[in-house]
Amino acid sequence: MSLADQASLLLIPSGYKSQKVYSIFPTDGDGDFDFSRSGSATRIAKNGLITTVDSNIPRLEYPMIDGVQKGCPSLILEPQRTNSLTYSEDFENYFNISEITLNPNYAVSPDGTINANKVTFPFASRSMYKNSLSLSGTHSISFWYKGEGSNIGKTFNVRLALGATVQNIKVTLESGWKRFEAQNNGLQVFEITNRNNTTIGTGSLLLYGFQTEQGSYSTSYIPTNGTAVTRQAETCNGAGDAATFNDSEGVLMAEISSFVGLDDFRLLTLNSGNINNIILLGIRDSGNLYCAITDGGVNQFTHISDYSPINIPTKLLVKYKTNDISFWINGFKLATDTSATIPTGLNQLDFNYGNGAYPFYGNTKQVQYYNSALTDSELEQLTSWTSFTDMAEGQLYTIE
Amino acid sequence: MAQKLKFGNGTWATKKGSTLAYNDENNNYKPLPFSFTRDSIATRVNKEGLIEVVGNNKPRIDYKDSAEGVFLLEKASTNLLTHSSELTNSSWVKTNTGTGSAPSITSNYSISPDGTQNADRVIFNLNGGTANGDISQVSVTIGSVSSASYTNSVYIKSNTANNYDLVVTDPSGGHIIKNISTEWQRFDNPRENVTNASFRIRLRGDEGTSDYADVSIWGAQLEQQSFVTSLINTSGSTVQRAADTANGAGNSEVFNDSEGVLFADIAANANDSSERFLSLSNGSSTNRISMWYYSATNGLAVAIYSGNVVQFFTTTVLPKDTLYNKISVKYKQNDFALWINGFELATDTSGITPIGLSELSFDRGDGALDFYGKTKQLGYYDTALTDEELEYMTSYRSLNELVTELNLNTL
Repeated sequence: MSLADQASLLLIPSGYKSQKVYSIFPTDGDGDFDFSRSGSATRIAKNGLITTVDSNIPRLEYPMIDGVQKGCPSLILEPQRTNSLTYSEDFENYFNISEITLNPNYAVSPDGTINANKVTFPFASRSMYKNSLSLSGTHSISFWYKGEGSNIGKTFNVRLALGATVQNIKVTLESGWKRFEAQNNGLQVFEITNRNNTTIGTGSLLLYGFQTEQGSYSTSYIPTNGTAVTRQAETCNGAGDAATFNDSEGVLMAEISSFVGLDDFRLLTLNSGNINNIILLGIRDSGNLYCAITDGGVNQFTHISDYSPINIPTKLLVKYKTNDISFWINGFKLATDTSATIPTGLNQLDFNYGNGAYPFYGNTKQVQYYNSALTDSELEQLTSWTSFTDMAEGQLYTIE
Repeated sequence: MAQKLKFGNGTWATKKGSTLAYNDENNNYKPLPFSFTRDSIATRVNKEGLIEVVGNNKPRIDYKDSAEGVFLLEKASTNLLTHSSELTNSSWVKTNTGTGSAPSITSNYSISPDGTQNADRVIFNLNGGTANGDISQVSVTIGSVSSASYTNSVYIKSNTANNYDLVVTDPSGGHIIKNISTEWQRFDNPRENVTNASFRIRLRGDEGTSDYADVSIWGAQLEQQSFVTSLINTSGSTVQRAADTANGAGNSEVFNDSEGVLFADIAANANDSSERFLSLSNGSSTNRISMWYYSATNGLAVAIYSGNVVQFFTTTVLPKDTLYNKISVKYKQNDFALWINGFELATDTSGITPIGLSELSFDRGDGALDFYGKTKQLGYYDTALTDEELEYMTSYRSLNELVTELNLNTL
């Protein structure tokens, strides 16, 4: 019997229906999460392709390693975002393409259909571009690109400009589809060019899925075809009840990743329906993973880690018991506290602060809750991996 | 022995921006990754023995020297030849004088070291000429350059059952005979104080070459280095491979400020007189355990700093720094030692240990003086091991292993 079989609540994202994410334990449904998202959204499906899911359907996203789907899915939760680039795929209707040659619907795109466009630079110092944008505030720009034949390994340039402030980002073409992601504070000009010491010359590249969204990090693809499109925010809350959780002692573990460039706290809490009694795992607006315990509105324990990066799956765990707190990340005990009281009335597990604020945005591979304080050996085991392969693939490495 | 960090030894995992060191105590695997950068593509020899392009910021595990693979870190270099494998391009001048014929070139004739049919066939012929003026040659002239060391390199193999003697010049035009066999070989010719750089492959009547040669040529490179580096493909312009960096493995939970051992099985890329560091540090150069190749021929230095004061310092001469050497540094208050290849070479019984150790990096600890070389494995132990353990760790398990690792000859 594995340790996970003893969990009082175990979420390994696998089963869902409209407005519901099922937990493995408890089996009576008390540990299931309520889910909401008004409107459709996209995800990477098991076949490795971008697919669209309907309103209120949770998204299980599958990891890709070197263009190949590998490993178990995670539950993806994202904020509301709007793709303001109005022709994400038929981008000849958006960009000025007078200087380049465009072959529409030329190749199979990351969604598995033949709708990726080929862009060829017929001469040196040419570009496709969009001028006179009036986007203010931090924006994230993304699109997919791919090289073919002798163009693989060559570079092109992405120019993002606001007035005299210009970012020139050199990008190398690879044999598989890659997503370009960058941020710019305001945006007037978005240009893809063979200028700026690039090596593509009069070569070509494949492009798909353009997105400009206001925010400090790129989120999942939002297709557009003529107008801006908004993907609504997701919520996932309300697992468990007073019988599930133990006010005296226990362990909360989560394997999560989030976005680099977070603009706010992103939290997972075991709580009593408010912020006065909480056991919290999460990520601060600074990007630091952290843990906190509050009893009766009084902070009992806080540890802010400098562990990084936060955009790959990381195992966090907090053990709580009166005068016996510990916080673990990826197999290491980072902090302890021998003077702390424990919150009472714990009755729900939420992907937020306990009052709806600071919703968690990112990917969740698993959440486990135990109603007893486990041993250090068990906590080390819970926050580690069982083999090199398991660890490496779990962290999206390619094993040689 | 409590080994707190492992890296390599045939167990490799890489992704863009990172390669994986780890802890596996109690069979619980915990990631302790190195951050990795290289702002360009690069090439390596993959497990299948083929030269392969690796993307920006992707670490390279290279199998050229070892079936187990080594972690390859190189300095920046530029291939000054604009068409590394396209000898039909006009940048390659085809010359015939005297009795010699202009080399005949067929594009994409044979399977190259990258596994695709993109190597050019070149037929040289002197037609019996034996005079200095009898030449059949392909060449690229770079021209005047500031005086420095340069290196020419190229892959060549015979297209027939015969071996041929061919000249591949050094960058100053010095002729060096190479025996071309039926297997692909990479020939490299370094030269110091080059002021006029060129690359020539030829038969010449008075240079002792064959009279005729039917060969495949691929992957030519001329770089401003005193030694050859990994292949940089070009197709229309010179191309720079950016420098590799790797740092930041581990954390303060892994490393012990009071005592421990840092072990490395490493080789330098070249005896190039620069300083190339590997350090366990507090993220700066003030508290660190460093080993580094330095300017002396085959020289290795080791130093331990605590509070920016040197506590242990020694230098030694390795059998050869471009061969793999097993190096261990033990630290404990008033108990420091350096072991290399099974021998204790230096000790110090006076000194304190560094504080705040938190990361293992292929640099001096402060991001400067990056390590360029090949790493078979690294290990960190959080206790000062016994002399017996250190001897075992830095030794070889068999004569065969020792002979292979140190590139010795058996009689």
